[in-house]
Amino acid sequence: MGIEDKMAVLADAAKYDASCSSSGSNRKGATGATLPSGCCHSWTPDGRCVSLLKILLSNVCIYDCAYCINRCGNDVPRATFTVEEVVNLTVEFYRRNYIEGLFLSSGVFVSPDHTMEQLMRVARTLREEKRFGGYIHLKAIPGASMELIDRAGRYADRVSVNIELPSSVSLAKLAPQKKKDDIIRPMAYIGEHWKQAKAERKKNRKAPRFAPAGHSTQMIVGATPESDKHILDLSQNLYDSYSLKRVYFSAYIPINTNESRLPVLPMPPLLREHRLYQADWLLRMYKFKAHELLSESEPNLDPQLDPKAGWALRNFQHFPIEINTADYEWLLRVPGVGVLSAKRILSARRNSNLDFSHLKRIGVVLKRAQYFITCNGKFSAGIRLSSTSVRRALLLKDKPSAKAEQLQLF
Amino acid sequence: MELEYRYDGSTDGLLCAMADAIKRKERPKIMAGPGEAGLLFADRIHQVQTDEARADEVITYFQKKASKEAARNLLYCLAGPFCSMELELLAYYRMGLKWGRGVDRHHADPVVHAVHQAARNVGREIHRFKGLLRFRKMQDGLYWAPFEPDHDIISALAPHFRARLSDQHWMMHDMRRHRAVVWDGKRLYAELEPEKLLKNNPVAEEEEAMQQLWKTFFSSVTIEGRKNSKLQARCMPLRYWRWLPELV
Ligand code: SF4
Repeated sequence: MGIEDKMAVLADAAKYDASCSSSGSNRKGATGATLPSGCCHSWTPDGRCVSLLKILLSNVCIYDCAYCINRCGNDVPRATFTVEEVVNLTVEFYRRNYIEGLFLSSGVFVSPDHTMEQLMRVARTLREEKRFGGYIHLKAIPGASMELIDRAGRYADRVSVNIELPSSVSLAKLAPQKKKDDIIRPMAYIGEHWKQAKAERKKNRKAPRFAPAGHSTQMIVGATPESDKHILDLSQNLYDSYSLKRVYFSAYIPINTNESRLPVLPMPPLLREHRLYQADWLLRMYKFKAHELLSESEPNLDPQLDPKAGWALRNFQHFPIEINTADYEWLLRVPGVGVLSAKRILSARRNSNLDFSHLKRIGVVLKRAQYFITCNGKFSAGIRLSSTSVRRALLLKDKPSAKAEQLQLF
Repeated sequence: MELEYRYDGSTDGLLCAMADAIKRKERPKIMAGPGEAGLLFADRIHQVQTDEARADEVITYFQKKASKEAARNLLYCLAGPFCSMELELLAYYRMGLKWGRGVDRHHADPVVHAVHQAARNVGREIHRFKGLLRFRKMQDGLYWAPFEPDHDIISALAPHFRARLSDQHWMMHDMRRHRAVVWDGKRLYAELEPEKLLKNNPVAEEEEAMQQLWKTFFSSVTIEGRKNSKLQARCMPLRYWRWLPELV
């Protein structure tokens, strides 16, 4: 098979994998350097940002996960790149500024250790022979030895293990060959080493790096019965216990339609995925806790309202807050006020008393925020509305279906 | 008194005009480039002398008095369509001298806001082209990157690629303004005759195959069921497509 055909097969096989962030690393080599803020190089006709050369090393797989297009039971064209082919493609694409770097994953061929070793070799050749300084994200293969994962982490900016499904029960059912422990162990290992290496490098700039951009994980939502609450609690847990940088959700896309263990969905639950990302954002950037967003009695996110507005309406008695005096923590909780505008409010109000026209310039989304704030004791509309009318007003302004499509999946 | 400043329309000219206003403690009603209408009844017209070295000093001085960010904001505004915001830039300059690094905290001030907005537009295009610039390999090994940005961003963009592609010989080429910057492995310099480097220098033999692989990658990662061309065009305006191999 020629390289052109391999590319078609192995790029196609990798495209459903969600994460594509290339941010968080600051590295320099002879060819290439990574940008701490990440960078899009192109956008596909479905509107997703392309930043990394995202391919599988091979789509040959000895496992049989129910949700996966590459499982061994499927009759699909198979291909495997050589290490040199991937190295060359990465360097040549990078020199032409097509990409920020490489995101390499793989089906499990021969054995987990064999696969992991090949992935590691790609990263090592790029760094040691080609002096490549661009971004490298490797997927750790469940079941591979810690020693290989350790070596991979020395060359890659990010090494991540997919948690795949939100519970071990679901995992046992749909991916019987993957043991929960095979996933959690490397995750714990990477988290631990990442923290250590970071601390070492603080003391000594020459200390070896270990996956400096940290690690992330991904799970499929909608293929199994777990609630949003379960998923968010799990994410919170992962952030807290394993120092994960990101948890990615990917809406289940029914690929293997003849599979009785999977639900029949009319379309992938994109809106749900979108709401989970919004909630996850609140956990990471806005200091919300999972239990504030969802409870046993309301275990799923409201599809009609974004979770921040939902929280604010449930806690309507705490509003309005006064923009000229409120704490940073409270500014952050106002729908329509982002991290940036909250910070700007703090610095701008040191210079002058703020009114609504100032807020507009600062970047506050007034059509959402207006119901929850006052400037010098006054509402922008003059009166306080009830929470029911605010809800109605917000629903009119929130068009979730359009937003769900903007997801940056790639 | 109605005072009118006239300058030659260049960025250096405007910087000198600003320096004049500060030095002479004057508040012009208008600062106009060539071809721009002046005041109907000007009491006095001051003709600004453009001086490149002096313009550089204006920036350095501002950076020292205000901050690096403020100086960058000013430079970014100057890379954009600045011919209708001369007075705002002068006001920003004054504020920077007066308030020092605190100037950019005044988010609610109309002048600061206008400057930030304009600078952000240019900054956005710079960031965009960090991703969208495409190099093609020529026969003699030169990597040539033609592009047509809205703003004059080539000098702001070049250091990014110097850091990134430091071991290859390349030329960025603004096809709209006929300006080019070359990195020869050691030095970054403005190339006044970019055509000379391209003469008798067609694309390298392997170039087409590489572009083809990139196109294959690009079309393979598209998820058909989620087509959204409007969103694609919003992220990546059509006027940029001409130089993107994956889209032509
Ligand atoms: S191990 Fe990975 S590639 Fe193999 S079937 Fe499971 S999900 Fe698919």
